[in-house]
Amino acid sequence: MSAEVFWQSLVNGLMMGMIYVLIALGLTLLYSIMHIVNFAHGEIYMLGGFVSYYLVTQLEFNYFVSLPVTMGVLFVAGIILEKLFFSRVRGNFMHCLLLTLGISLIFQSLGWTFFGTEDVSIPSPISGVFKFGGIFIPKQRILSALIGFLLVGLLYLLIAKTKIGRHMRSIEQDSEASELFGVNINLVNMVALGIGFALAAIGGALIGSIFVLNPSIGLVPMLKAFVIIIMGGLGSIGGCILAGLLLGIIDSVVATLLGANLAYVVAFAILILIIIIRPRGFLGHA
Amino acid sequence: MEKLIKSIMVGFIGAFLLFSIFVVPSLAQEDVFKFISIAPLSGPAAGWGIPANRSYQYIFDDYMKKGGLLVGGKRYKFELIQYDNKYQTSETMTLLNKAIFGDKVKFLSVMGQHNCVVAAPICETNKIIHLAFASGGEELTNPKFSFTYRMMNSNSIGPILYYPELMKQFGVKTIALVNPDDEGGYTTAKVDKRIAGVLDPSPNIIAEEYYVRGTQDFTPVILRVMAKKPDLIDMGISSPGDTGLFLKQLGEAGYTGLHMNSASIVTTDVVWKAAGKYAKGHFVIGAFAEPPTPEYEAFTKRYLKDFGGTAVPILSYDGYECVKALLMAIEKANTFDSTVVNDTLGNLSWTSLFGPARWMGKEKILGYGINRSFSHPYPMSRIGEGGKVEKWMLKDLPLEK
Repeated sequence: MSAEVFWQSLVNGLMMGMIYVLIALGLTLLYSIMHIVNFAHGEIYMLGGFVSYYLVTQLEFNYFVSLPVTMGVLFVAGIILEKLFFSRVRGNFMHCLLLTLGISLIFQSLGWTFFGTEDVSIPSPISGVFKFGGIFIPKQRILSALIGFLLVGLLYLLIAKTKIGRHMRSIEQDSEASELFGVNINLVNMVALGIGFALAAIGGALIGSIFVLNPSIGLVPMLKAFVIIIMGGLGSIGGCILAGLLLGIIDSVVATLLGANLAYVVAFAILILIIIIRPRGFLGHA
Repeated sequence: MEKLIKSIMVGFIGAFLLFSIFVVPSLAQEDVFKFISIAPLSGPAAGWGIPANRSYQYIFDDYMKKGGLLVGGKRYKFELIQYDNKYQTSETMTLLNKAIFGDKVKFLSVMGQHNCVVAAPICETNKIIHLAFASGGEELTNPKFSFTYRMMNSNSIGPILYYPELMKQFGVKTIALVNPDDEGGYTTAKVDKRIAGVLDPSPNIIAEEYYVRGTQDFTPVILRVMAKKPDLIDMGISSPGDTGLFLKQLGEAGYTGLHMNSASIVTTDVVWKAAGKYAKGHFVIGAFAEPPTPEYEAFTKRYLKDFGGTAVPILSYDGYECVKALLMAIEKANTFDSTVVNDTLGNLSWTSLFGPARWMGKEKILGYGINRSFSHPYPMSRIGEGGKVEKWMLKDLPLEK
């Protein structure tokens, strides 16, 4: 492998990693606050892609406007689902698990019915590539990575600096004690689910302009998101970012060096090693 | 109220019994020719399966306009049973068993090279006429599978007819092969390498890459291929969805050389939807820029009127013609006995939407040893603005006596 190809695959991996981070952050947020392992996360990601696609292609929204609108739509969908379903099974891990599996299957089936079987792609707002030496970087990927970076920063600020963020952290540590101190658990859970859905949705909207969309696209990103949150440490934003970027690089560099199938082998081998050597992940709590 | 509910229930039960006694047997007694299509109706390859099924229904509708299929003095209606194999071999095997042993059909079609290769021996053993919607080489078309008919030109035809033209006109010397990581992909690459070796002058195959069908990020494969600096990237048997996404990322990675699908017939507007401007100039096998016959033109208008879009998926024409050939053979043999129909069908030549059509395979350069692969004038076109098919060349494999 030449140096050019190596650097190209490294840069590509970092950019893809940033989008994985977004998807995984939503998942880790839901786990740490609501203790939900959300198997429907891939379908929310898919829905986000399609919402953005229809906003841009049918309603002629500007792509950049479609992104916050998509997040808003899925945020509201998250709140509604929390109110209707998740609040009723809160605290029961198995019920939550089955609920998310059911939602996943329903959304995917509805996806085939309403979105059809053909692949579609969100028209990229910018085209072309930046060329640095021998490295080509599509502008759309850079844009997506930057948006991802910005959103991760905003999420950090929300959790670290705002009242709702403090409440989220307190629930993560001890939900009963938080409630005794006046934290509105219902509200925090609704907001957390909404944010988790919105993050997955924006991931889908960003990916939809780089790759293609169809109702089955959610599975692989969801699996990757699970790998990331376990590698990074459940509930840890920093760990999630670290693991996401690492997985993006492994995916890209190993696949370029040895082929796509071996990239999966290497990623899962590292995951197994981490589970054995450091079960709490890179930056997870003990 | 209770009385009313009871009356309604009694009414329903009575209606159900009457339906069971009088209507169901009359439906069962109808003379129906059942044909089963096992094709992808969901997932990335659905862009092939759905148009194929539409084309089967078209030929059945056309026969119904004549009163149905005439065999032994009786007119038969048609029943097209559509199964979704999701383009997966495991699904195909389950559905094939259901078709043969459950539905007890003698005539069926399977889509996908990797699926057809496993279906062929089962169809041979059970004397099932198997219309195989697949490219590929001698793995599918050989004397061991005399009941299997390839519904499209063999994937040797693209390289045989057009590698020399690309070398002559564009100075192509090196070719990279990119195919899906399955039986169809490996067979296609094997065929391409064999043909390249036989041609004189011979192109140099400098890279051979495989990807999992439905891959989203092709960048690693693209980087490996581009590192070898090929003059031409042949995506072989790739589906329209995979081809489109690959071309988009290939263009974004700065590749400016030639690219083509030499084996799979890709739907150009599907490729365009995914790749946009990066699809421009892509060489596509089997896509006609101009209608070769008035019947072809009429078919095109009919399809676009019924299903919309800007272009008819090319394999719809193949599907229509091969099922038409089967029905012609059944009527000619005047029996549903699949062994007799097989003899008739194998020797059939007919006038198709493309012009003169036959089954090929015994030609020396192909070396299949049996005529079981659909043959007709076969174009290589290019994708133009908006996915439009632009004329490049039209050649046909010469008939060997």
